Amino acid sequence: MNFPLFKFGFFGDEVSLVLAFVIGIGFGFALERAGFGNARLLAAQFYFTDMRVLKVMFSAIVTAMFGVYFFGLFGILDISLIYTTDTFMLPQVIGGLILGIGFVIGGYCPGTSAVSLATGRIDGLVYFIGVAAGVFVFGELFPLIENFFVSGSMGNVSLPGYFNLSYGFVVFAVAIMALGAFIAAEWGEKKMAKKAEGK
Amino acid sequence: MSVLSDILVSDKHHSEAVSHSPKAYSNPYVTGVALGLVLLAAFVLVGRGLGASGAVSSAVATVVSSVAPEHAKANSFYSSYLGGGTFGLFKDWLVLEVLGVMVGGFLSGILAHRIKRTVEKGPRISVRNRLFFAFIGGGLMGFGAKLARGCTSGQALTGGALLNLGSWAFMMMVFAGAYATAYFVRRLWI
Amino acid sequence: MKKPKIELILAILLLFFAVIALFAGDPYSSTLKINPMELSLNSTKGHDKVTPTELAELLIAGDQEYVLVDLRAEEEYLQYFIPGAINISPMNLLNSELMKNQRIILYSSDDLESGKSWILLKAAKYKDVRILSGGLDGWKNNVLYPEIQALSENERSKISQISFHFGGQPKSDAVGSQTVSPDLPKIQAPVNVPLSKPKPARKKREGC
Repeated sequence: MNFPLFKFGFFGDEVSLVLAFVIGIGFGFALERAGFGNARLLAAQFYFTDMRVLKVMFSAIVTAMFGVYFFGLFGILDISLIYTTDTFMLPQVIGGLILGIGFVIGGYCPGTSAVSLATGRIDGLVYFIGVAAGVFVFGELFPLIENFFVSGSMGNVSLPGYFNLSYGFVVFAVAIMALGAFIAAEWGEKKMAKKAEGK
Repeated sequence: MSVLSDILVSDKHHSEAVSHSPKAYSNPYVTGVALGLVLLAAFVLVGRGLGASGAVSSAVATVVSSVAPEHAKANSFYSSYLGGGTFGLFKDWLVLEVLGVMVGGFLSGILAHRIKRTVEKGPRISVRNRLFFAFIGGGLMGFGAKLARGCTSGQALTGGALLNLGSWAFMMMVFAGAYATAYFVRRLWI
Repeated sequence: MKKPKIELILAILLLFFAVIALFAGDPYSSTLKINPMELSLNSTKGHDKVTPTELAELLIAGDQEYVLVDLRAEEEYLQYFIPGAINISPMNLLNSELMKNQRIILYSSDDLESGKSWILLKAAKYKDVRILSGGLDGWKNNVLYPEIQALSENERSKISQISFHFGGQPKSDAVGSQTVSPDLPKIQAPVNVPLSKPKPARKKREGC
């Protein structure tokens, strides 16, 4: 077998669109289960009272990272065929900052706001409309910021490539880092809970 | 599918909920693993990751193009989402994926009795202000996501799992930006 | 017995996989491995070549299923290239936008450079790589300025048409005694082909 199946022509565009819908359902289901349709739970991450965002996100990243790594190790998945964006350092750093600020002010990210509006949250709906407005503003300003948008291009770089480390070592390091973050998160939550009781 | 049933089962573990009262949310680690498997499925089947803001971009570009076609064509940001007019909005991968997200979220919400018309907010803020800030936050998110070439799902999750350099830098900055702002907007949430 | 917590099980699994990864090494390392069996099978079955005439027919049919790669230096490329070809230096081949699942046809001045690049790409697990047999010289001799005297009437008109299509001229009695030497600067890109670098088809943004 050659994976990704779509890139090796196992099925065509129509099937890939059906898969988009099915994969989306899985994605939305998991996000709702995690409690990410609820802005208060998402925002709690930034006040250290409930570290769900970190736990879910890093569990997901580590799982998928292991999957890609071991499929690659068995020689059945070609990672170069999986689409990733090129790195444009400065726009991505600034964009990440703006996005983080928007996250804590609005309480969602685009994916979670879709879940939130689907489960009846009005704030999720308003947030989703806000995202569209933000994209529209970006689109209208695009001619002015196009130069900045394409600045600092580094091509398609990965952590192993950039730091000249073996892929396996980076997988190991990320996994251990995630484990450390989980332990710290559990410890922090307990501490915050005690503090709240003590009040 | 076994993943889904796993989560359903784990749900029962965590709450002996009386029916019709909302169930407790699932174990975050188990849910995270399930989410990771969905992401992995996208990788090995279709060769791409998940996304959300890209679907909004396609929708916005389509609306702009139908209102002012010349304007959209002249703007390389919009035109890159129109694909030369060779396909419609509902033939876009991310648009269908986000529709799936809404359906999936709704299904999960129904099963756990969590569908409720409400506004999520802290106790110290009015509904009107909360909605105002939701709009502002969404706007910043939309703008930032376009500048960074992706949002939390497209960059942080997808690029994170693929060990993409820019995605990791982006992810660190998201947390930095959010933590730096959290104190100033605490009235919104606590 | 108390049931172990799910967090603990997951943490143990994580450690287990992480340690394997630490020692299992790099599935995408930069050392290339050559599979001699596959390579020789490819050569004996002729799955590694495209003749100039076949390529000409593909081009005329507008077959977009493959990428045509010109491996020569940029100056040579800018003077003339086979319509639709993109210019990639052999040095950058593995870092180019070529995808492992694409059909790739390589050409250079002759077979040597494209042959080397063919082995490189096959070793890097590119699935379908072919070389234009005879390289650009073969293209000149068989497509642009073919010898048609010895051919039957039918063949002759077909070959001539192909030659005219690409802005060439068949070598025949009609052209007369003066021989057209294949490396005369007479070769120019046909009028309908822009001389500027052809852009690879714009990829639709896939990201979020």
